[in-house]
Amino acid sequence: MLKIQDISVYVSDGNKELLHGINLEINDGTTHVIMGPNGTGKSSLVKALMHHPAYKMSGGSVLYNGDDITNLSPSDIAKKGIYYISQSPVSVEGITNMEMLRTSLLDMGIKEDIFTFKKECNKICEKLNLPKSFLNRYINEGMSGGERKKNELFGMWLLKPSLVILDEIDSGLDVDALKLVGKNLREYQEETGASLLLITHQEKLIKMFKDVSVHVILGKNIKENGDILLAEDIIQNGFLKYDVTNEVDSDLEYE
Amino acid sequence: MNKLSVRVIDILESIDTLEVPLGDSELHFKRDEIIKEIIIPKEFNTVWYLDDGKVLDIQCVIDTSHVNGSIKIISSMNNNLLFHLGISNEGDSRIDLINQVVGDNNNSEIQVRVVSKSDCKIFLKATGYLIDNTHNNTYLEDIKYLNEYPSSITCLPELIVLSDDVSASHNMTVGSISEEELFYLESRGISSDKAREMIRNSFLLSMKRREVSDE
Repeated sequence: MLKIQDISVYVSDGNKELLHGINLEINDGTTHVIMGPNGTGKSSLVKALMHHPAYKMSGGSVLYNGDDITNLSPSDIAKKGIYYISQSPVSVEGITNMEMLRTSLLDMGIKEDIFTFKKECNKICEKLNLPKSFLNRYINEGMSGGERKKNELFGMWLLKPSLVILDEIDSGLDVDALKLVGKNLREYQEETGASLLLITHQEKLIKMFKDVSVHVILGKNIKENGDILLAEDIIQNGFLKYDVTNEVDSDLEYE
Repeated sequence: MNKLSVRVIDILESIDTLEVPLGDSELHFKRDEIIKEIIIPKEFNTVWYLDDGKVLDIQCVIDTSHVNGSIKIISSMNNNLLFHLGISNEGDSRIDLINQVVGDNNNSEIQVRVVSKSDCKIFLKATGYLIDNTHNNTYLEDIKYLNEYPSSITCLPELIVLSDDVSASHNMTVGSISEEELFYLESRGISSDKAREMIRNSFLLSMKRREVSDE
């Protein structure tokens, strides 16, 4: 279980506060969705949780399965079983997916011979409709937005995290790719019992999961909590009626 | 220990052997042997001679610690050379890289990638020397330095062009390890030290390979 207690988030090179007093609990096997207008700090929150160098947390604590991970490095957080997929996964020229994933497994203490590794990779390629040559490509190099997202899901299947954080996984995906990604996430959750934390406003994606908890960030904090009905209302009518801080432009019209 | 590893990709299978003299040792490349590794002395001078019509991608990686060495490549006629030199430095070192073009119709692309493994200094002199009365030659020199430690590089890119019929240029850039790349690898469970090493190695070997045409 992930337990975020009274966390504030700042940018690293200054004292600008982006989020204040965030509290959130994610139980094992559950799906949570974070929504909020642009620039309210949704991505900053998950990056800060992963200890991205551009952000820092202060105030409370972050516990994962009872362990305090507030001050852990990104690699130690990953070793605890948390897997983060960025909105725009970075490309790394010169390092192949194979090299990265083999090193990840090794550093996480998972020893797999090359034959088992390749066999497992071939199965994952089929799940994601990816050519086997993907393994030998440089990390996300020269890939389209959709290919990058699939590549990130490849890592998820292989490293088997217990919590997957997905920041706008739907961006850059066509309708078929979105279905495939949603199906993979649902299958992964059913197979492993993992929890999912999604930042998204994509109704089709949200509706692929059962019993979704929805949290809305407004004015530096989580202002609304609810279920699929809250998500539907926001997708239909926007954030205006939930906005007590007048962050949302009142001239916006939602159709 | 100082090491030199060399990989030769003979695109046109144009060489029978390529001899690389190095101090007391010598590397001989034959068609089927593309990778060689050798321990190099602290001081070394090597001259590679490309006689006529070679189309080669050569990738050299030098692991240096307090060395003083020079690599000279002499291109005669009709050669098409992509020469990639990766230098992984530790300690105070000096490397001279000289590309001398003595004939016509040569295309030389020189890529140098330098990383420091500790607080150290390196002096790098990269010279393109295109002699008089040569024609239709192109020469491009691209040097990149990945600055990680409080180390320093003194780089002297030098073009000596004595011919009018040549296209020659050089550039140098200095950068540091991308925080985003480092974060990405760390977020996949890879330790910071290992992630840095992976990025350093990929930079060292980042030779922009040429497409091989079927024609």
